[in-house]
Amino acid sequence: MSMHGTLEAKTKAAGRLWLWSMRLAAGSAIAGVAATVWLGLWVTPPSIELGQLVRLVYIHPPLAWVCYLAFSVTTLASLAYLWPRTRSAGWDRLAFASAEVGLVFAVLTIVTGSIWGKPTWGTWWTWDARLTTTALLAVLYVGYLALRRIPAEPAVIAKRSAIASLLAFADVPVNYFSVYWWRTLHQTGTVLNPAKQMKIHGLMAWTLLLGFLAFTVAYLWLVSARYRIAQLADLRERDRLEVAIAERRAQAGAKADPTSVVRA
Amino acid sequence: MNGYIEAGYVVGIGGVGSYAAMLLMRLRRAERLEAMRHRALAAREDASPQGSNKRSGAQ
Repeated sequence: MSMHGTLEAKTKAAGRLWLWSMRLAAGSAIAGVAATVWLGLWVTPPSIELGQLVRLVYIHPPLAWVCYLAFSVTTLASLAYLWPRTRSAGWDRLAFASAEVGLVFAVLTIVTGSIWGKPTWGTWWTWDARLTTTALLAVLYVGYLALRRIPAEPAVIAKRSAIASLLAFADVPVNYFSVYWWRTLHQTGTVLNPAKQMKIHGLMAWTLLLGFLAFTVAYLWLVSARYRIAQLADLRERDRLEVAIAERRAQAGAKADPTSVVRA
Repeated sequence: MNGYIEAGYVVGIGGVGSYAAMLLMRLRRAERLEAMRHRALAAREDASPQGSNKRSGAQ
């Protein structure tokens, strides 16, 4: 087999592997979320303190966890882009894909938290430290995505948005520690707390962990899909540019040699 | 149960599901466009003098 043929076969095999990984992730995420809903709504018991409202714990913290995870991945990918040895368009694309997914989860965290807050605290919204820093986080990443849309050379967009993502990420630890640093209405971490002591046990704990796992797998699928869409868009854009450059060159050539038009 | 729990589940899972569905549609459209781009590239390569040479060489 020729070198080109081997490369093409490897590309095809990688494509098939990616497709099957995506299908597996999608199936696992759907099954995991379905099991979380079933356990969360019908199997787990109500709690003494929150009663039936505790059932929202299987949805809201996993959404918030994915939000942290997504923004952490964006930051790491941005650092990899900024580091000259590892700089590649792939890191920038990953940072962008993860930021967009993270923003969706941040908004859903705020909305589900608000729905939980109304019957628990008696209000949809309060300028509590955790809520405020979560809203700030969403606004910062809206800014990050907006910054990416300002026209410039791809390398300039990648570099400035990587720097912006590092600045935006500064709010993540503040958001996490806000419930320990300030007196807030929001409870401290049920699973992810500095004392590393789970405040939930038995079937309730397993259901919550399943929720975390299912949403993490969903995140992996979403980021992979968003990454692929961005990659294909970049390829089309590169093609479009190449065609435009070739047309310009042909036009310039025709102007420089008018006889070529006559000959043609 | 009260309406807040159901609302929380619908918004949380429905939100992720809607976003996933939107991405899936965009991904399929992008893959279709990619397949078209590949076909166009192959056609362009065949139409080029090098492509013609390759064909005549193969014959």
